[in-house]
Amino acid sequence: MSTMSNPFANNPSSRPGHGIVVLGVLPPNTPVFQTLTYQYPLKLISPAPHNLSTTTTATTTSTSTPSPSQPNTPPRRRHPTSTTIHTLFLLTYGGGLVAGDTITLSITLHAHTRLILLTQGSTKLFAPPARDPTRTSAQRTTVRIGEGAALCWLPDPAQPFAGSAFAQTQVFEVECGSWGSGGGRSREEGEGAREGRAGGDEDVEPGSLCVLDYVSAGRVARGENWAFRSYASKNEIWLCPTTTTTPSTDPTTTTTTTPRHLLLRDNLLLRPLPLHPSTHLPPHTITATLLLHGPLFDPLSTFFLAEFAAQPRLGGRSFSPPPPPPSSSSSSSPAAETPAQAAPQPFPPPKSAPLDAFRAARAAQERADGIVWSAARTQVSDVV
Amino acid sequence: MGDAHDPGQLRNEIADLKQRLAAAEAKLNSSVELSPASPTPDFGDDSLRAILLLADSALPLGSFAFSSGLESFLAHQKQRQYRTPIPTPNSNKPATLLQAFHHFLSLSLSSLATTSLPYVLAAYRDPAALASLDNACDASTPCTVARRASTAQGRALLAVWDRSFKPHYGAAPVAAASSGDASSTDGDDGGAAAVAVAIDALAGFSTLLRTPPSAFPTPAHAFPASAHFAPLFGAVTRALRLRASSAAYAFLFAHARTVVSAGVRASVLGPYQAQAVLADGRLGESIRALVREMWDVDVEDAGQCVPVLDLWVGRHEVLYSRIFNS
Repeated sequence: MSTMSNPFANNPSSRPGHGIVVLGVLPPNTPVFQTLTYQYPLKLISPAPHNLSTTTTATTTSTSTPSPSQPNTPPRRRHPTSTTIHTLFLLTYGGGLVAGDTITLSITLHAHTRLILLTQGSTKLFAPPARDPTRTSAQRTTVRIGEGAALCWLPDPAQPFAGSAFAQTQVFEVECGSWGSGGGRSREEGEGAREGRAGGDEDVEPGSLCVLDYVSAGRVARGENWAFRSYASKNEIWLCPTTTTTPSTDPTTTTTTTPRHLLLRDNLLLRPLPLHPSTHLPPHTITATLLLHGPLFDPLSTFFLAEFAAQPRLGGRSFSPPPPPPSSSSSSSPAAETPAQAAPQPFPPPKSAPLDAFRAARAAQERADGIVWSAARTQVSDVV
Repeated sequence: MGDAHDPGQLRNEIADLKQRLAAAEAKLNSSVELSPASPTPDFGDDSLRAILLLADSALPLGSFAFSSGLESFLAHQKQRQYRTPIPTPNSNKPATLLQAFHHFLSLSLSSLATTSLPYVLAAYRDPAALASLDNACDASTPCTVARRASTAQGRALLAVWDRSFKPHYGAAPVAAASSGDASSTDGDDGGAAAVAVAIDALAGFSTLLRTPPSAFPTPAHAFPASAHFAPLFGAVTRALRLRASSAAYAFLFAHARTVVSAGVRASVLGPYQAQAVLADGRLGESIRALVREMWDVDVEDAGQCVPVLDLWVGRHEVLYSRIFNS
């Protein structure tokens, strides 16, 4: 989106709430932060990167404790640079956003880099001052994911206080090799049915993406129950051809000119509507969406799929003994880590839509999408 | 269900029906008074026929096969752990099935208005963008069950257009015929020209749908078309020379009719009650309010306002027994 990149047209580093992250590769294959800038009220903290070759995958799973993806995140394909994983903590001063704050974050992952984005606590969204009740806070994030790169973004839930208004947009651009001509798109493995087509991109590993986006009912302990004024969260995944030149540190060059194809737009709008003046979402105290994309998270998608397929039928009669309880791996629902768990409400069903977004084979993709959705439901039943 | 009568609601219905009877009588009287002045009947343009065609429940879209999540919603309401509290006038009494149905209907209408109505209006206003709108709509419908329902009805609508409507509406309109008052209001731009564009776009899309994806040379076309209902509805209503507001109203009303009809077959309400719901002036007012709300919303800002509805629709897959496809 051109609106995403325009703010960076002139000196981005001096604007409040703006941040730029570029994770590049230092030859021969050491991923480093080429750029890491941020301005108040945004703060980015980067601990020492983890090296998979020395610490094994257990290290990465420990850093992403609230992740439902722990059992399946180890990279399936060992690329020379995929063993070093950077972690970045996304902070805002005061632990949240005051009305009028606008965070603009641009992240670029060069080919075959790995980044985990975390927060240190729920993002509090404060109510606007009484003198200006319509003021909205916003967060805009643009992420460019190079070939074979992977982003794992597992924040704590947003916690909109009563009366607050917030809108966030997260745009993910996944590079997938060159468009080629004659339909030669790069495909993830598993969709090899189309491999016979023209195009020489079969060896290109597309970018991978795991994004958790969730919002809670507010300060439930204080009796807040979806009492914010409005909350909007939009996630978009775009498929992009790999830029032929080395991606520059200026994100404007990569976002505005290249063609791209919309794979997913997940837009949540919680605001008063004619028939429903309140944004009430009873009886749930949290709603979550998990987006999965790319070969790295294929096993996780498959896992969700399988779990959902194993769901008990609703309204059926069980003539067989009850199934064994779900394994411990499946209980890693994000809901279990949220404040909603402590609330006296029924368990919140997280809605997760891990989406295998490759559309080469439309039928296969729809099947995969369905599976993905099922996975979300699986979590519901696991929690319940 | 005979025991589902709620006295308060019935009283409301009666009051409303009386009010509309009075309004209708007043209208009749006034038209009787006017009739000497216009000895010949005035039908205006022919858009009434197009609306009747689209509103006909016999239109072979297969809409009867879809409950838009109603079946799943009812099944979830039966399970205590999934139950959603239904707002009732008397909070002491548990909500009746009928109250739950009305709650669902309003949620479903709101959700459809925020997710799909922008696509209807966008395709109506710019039929040439039909293919890209279709893709955007597909990307914005992550729920498998909803996507299946949408594409099934979209393809059916396209088939109806191709086989039934196009022979009669498919000729490019004479400029004078459609440049009248029907297209001068409502923010329509282009009039006859836009109708021709819509007809061309539908023909092009029909071809696109039948062509295997690998035959397309450009990457923009490398992803097969899906034929979602909402954008196609917008293009078809444009080709049928309807007004944008009529198209939007018909879109939401047809949805309400489908849900109500599903409710009848799910034994939630009787056929007379069902017609009463549709005849209720509050339904019309709700639809108008939703259309006004979403009138200027871009498709980029279309989104789900009732996330639990996605859950219900998606979880239709796990129902043990199903009589609907969604």
